[in-house]
Amino acid sequence: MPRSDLPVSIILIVFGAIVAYESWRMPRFEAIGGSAYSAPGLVPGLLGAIIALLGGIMLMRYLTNRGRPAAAEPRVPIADATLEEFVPDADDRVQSLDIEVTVGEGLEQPSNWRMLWTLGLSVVFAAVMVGRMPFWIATFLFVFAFIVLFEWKTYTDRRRTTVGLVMAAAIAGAAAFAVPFVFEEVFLVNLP
Amino acid sequence: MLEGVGYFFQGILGFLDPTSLFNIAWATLLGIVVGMLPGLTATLGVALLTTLTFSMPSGEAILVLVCMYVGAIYGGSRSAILLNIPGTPANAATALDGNPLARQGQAGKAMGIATAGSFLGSFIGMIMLATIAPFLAEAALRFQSYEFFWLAIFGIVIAGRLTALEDPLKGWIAGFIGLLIAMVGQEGIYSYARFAYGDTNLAGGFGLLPVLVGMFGFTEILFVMRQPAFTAVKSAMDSVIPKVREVFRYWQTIIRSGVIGTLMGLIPGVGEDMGAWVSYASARGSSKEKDKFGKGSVEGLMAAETGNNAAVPGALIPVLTLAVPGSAPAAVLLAALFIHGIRPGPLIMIEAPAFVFEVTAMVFMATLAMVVFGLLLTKPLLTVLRIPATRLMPIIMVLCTVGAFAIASRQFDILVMLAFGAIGYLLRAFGFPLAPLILGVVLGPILDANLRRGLVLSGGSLEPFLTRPISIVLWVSILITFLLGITAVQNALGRLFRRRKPAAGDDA
Repeated sequence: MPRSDLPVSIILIVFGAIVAYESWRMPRFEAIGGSAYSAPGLVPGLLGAIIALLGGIMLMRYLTNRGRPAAAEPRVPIADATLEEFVPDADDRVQSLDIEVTVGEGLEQPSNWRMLWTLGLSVVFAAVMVGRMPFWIATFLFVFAFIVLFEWKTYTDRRRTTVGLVMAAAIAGAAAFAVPFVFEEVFLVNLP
Repeated sequence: MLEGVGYFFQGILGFLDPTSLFNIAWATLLGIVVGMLPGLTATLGVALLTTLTFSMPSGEAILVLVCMYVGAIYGGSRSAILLNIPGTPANAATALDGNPLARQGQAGKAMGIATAGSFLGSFIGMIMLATIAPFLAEAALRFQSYEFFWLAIFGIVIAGRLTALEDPLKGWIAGFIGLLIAMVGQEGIYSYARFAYGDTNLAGGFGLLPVLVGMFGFTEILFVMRQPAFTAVKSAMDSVIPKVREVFRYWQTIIRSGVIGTLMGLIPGVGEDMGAWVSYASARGSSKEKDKFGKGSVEGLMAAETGNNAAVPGALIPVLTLAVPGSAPAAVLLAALFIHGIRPGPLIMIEAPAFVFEVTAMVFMATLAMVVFGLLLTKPLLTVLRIPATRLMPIIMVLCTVGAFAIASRQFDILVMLAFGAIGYLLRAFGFPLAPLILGVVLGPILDANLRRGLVLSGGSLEPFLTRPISIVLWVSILITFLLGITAVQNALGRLFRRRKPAAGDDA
């Protein structure tokens, strides 16, 4: 069992219990002739209880299997699980597959930092900038900043830096023009 | 039946005007591109196009969405074959044999076989859609609250089981969280705003599209950016036109995969991924060339691609007849149908008998366009795979923001998209599948309304839930699926099985 199952199962139990309690506190409209079976809290309460119960099963499973050697950490569920099931040497084959895929410079390992930067930039764009300034300006700034931030390591000399910045500005400019044009002019959809 | 054939050809004739043909062409091509790009799934493609086609006439809008769906499931085979990275999760099985073929210098042949498989799969699925849907709609007329309640639970339990083979418990938890997400906001009987705490935005509930764009768009962006980047693609080229003899040598596999794919599509929330995997496994099980599987087997590639494309029309069957989605992209299509004022469900064959066959005609047109583009635009399409993620992902993020906002013009929906994107990332990182969660969001209102209505009608008695014939079938299936997913029960059965067959072979 992956070690993360312990905190996750506890969170699920607590979450399910809070949901069930909050559902219990919902009005039942008995004063206006409502039946107990039509109470708004009935279904969410049951769902909360079921989630807490399943979390409990997960916790029990973790505790009973704790002594055994840890299985591999969970990965993308379908693909990997079944890959091994049907093709026993899948892992070896996947490992040896670097022929047609070359790894970008400076980006060799999975990186939580890159994920966090992406998260941060995206939140600033979607939650802060959009709605406070014209959409095309927000789009231009976000796309430009995103590309420059993640391609920064490839700007090793002056020529590459210039080409990189011009490219980023061109892509950002194209997006800032095309997205509002396609949505608002061609398909008549409102933008933020 | 003959009436249906008539409606089908009427549908085809209706799509032969320049506007429809133009829409079919760009939507299918865009679908193929979306499918090819790792990180862009069919679900996100259909969701973003739903926003874009908001102001189109309903028939054209649904046509565009079906073309996107068919194109994306097919397009994913390209990156699976050339990069060993499935363009959409549905093409994971394709990579197993498609990529080895490409590495043997037969990339063209592999793409040709994938195209033929996708075409035949769509075709078989289409025939089954036109024949099964009317019967299912008729059977569903007998469904009352009790059956719809069980159907909602059945969907969650089966989708949770099949999308998380390694750990069904997590699949079920995801499904129940999905049902709970649907509970937020005003309910149908007393208009009481659940879990809103006085907030008017929360009282409006979470829209399906913002949640979905978050979980299939923003979550995916975060995963893609976390991964190492890939840049160059070697384009090895032999002929992409498949040889007829080579294709029809495996006619049994094609028919079997087509039927399996469609059935996997039909089961709520399961969809194309399992359509491909189950077809692949069954083809391997009954193949005369088992040893070639995983090393570049044409039969394996054919099975996977036939299976996933057959699941597309398959997933539309429950959408049209029960208003329950067969897959995640079908969940978006279902939402789009409601947005455009079409009411799918058991009454569809009575209220709009031609519609099922029109949708069949849409699948047919999309499939034709897919084959034409797939075979003619092989080289130009390869350039799509050269776009680095660092340049594509910010643009996808902009589209996700627009997609979340545009349906209801609510700023709140952008926050919903961001929040569920982050939640989706955590859930996936901890091994929870997202497909049953999305199914839960769709089924939540059905579960809520029908459980309460059923209980009020029966005066609180559980008897009709347990004793009506269709209910019995549903709850017994749920119980069996649930028990078989629990490790302790599996182990006990395993012991029993081993004791009975002590000299069983090692072929699993």
